[in-house]
Amino acid sequence: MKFLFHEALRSLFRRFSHNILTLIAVLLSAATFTVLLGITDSSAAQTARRFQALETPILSAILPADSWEESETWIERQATQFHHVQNAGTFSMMDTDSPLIIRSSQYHTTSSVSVAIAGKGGLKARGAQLITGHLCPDSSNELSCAVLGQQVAKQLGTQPGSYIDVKNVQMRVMGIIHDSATESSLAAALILSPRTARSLKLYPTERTVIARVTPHSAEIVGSRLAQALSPTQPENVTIKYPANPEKLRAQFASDSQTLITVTATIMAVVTAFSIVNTMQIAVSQRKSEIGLDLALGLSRKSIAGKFLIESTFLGLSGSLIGTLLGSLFVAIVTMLNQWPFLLPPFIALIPVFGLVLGALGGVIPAIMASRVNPVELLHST
Amino acid sequence: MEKKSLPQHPLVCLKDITKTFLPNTLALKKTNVTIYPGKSIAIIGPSGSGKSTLLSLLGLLDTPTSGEYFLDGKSTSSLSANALSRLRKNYIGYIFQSFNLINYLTVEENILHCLAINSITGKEAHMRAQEALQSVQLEEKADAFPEQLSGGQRQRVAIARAIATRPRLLLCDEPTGNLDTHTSDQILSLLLRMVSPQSAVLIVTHNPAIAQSCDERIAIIDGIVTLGQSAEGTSDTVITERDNNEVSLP
Repeated sequence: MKFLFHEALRSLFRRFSHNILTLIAVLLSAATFTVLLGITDSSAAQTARRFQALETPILSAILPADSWEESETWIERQATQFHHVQNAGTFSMMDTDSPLIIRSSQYHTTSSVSVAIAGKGGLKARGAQLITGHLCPDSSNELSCAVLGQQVAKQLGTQPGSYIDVKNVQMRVMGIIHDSATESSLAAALILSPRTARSLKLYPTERTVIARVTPHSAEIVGSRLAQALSPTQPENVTIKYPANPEKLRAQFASDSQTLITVTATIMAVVTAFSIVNTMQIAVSQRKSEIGLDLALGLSRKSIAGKFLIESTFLGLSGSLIGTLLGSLFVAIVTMLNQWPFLLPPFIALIPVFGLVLGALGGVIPAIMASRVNPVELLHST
Repeated sequence: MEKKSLPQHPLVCLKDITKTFLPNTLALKKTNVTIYPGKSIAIIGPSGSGKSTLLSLLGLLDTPTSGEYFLDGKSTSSLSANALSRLRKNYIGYIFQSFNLINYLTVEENILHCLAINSITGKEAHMRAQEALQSVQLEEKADAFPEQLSGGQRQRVAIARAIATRPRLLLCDEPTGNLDTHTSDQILSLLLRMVSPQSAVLIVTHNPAIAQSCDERIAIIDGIVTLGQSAEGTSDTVITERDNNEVSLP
């Protein structure tokens, strides 16, 4: 066996010019596959990383209509009982297809607004910032107060303390807010407390409670929030989780799976055919060498083994070098683009596949080699 | 002519050997050949007469359609392919008309390759390779590749490769066929020097002059064998004609 390995490797190296094209084909296949896997993973990680920067760890719980009967104080207490919840409260937007017209009592200016029903906790969870004035309290005495979005206040020309007409009801403007850094819908909204909204019959069918949670705790809180907000019928509560960057990354990788599988199959076929072709040519060119070996007493099995070792090593060496070069290429690309450098563990198997393909590609040529008739040597000139 | 007494144990003994190639080509019919060590034998005949067939059978590269082949007293007819390979390794050396050197190996590596097949490696192999190269006067070409050598030099390397394993039976198929006259004489002289009390050299040739230089001759023309005698009048191998009549030498 040692003799066969030695002979096979020597033949590969000494006949390098005959094998170089196949080696390059195998190398390029392995390198391309490595780059495909590496770039896919690295870019997915980069996308997830970017997404993480925009991540708003806000959980939403959608409650049925009868939940409007619960006080905002109770809602906030139930939702903030969990360690990971920073702020929570009602935050529902009315249907934007039917905007409301409000009028400044003082200046007689009007504005078409969307309506948001939000408690203090809900506004904090959303990240809305008070510019001036106060937020409406959640107590039952304050039914006629409202908060305006920045844009609405500007349109009406109002300040905290002034009055506006909402559906023929005069309401006092308590404060002006601007929306969170990542949202803007509150800028053109009239914000009412849940109790005020109920009195004006200005609320949607479903009540949405939002909770701002600590990073990576959405899953934990979500599993308990439904029970907390609707102890008797938690199944009626729909929890919406914020997008998980890691899940996004995994989905990205999964979506690429088909592309990767098809590419891998094509490359495997190309590799195998290259090796088969090269080895068949080698057998044809080396018939006299094979015949000589048979005449000298080498068994047909050994002849076949020698060629099989050659083809296997061709597959292994090409794929190993290709994997290394591909990994280097991925490292350079990710470094230049400042992406995280990621190589899936699967890449370590590429040389193994190369070895297997090399062996498979060498089977038929090895059988052909073992069937050379040494008697032909006696007739050759 | 008196029959000289021959050594007791022949190296090769073919008995009623027939070889047929499909569909109906009869290359040899009921041929009997006996070869003793210490002899050089020429197989002479025109192209297509059956020389190469006889050589391939003697060299265990092919098997007869019928008949028995005894090599050093052992029957080969029922041996497996692996067993025949081992016999070839242990007994037989080959020299081909087209040299059949491995082009990507140096001269010395060609010889070492042959020795390695015979499980001779390491210092022993290098020593034998050097000895073989010295006997053909090519020591300085040990690191050269075959393409860097002349035809005569390549054939000498082929001879060195064959004798390095110290075969008992050296089979040479038209060893001077591709060489000029002067080189042919040199090669022939080298080959005849390889005869020893334990070994025999068998040369297939269509050159009568080469045949005359050997101790014995086997002539084949269209399967019919005739006998000849060397210049010194030594005894010839006993063989049969195609119609199975055993013929003795006068």
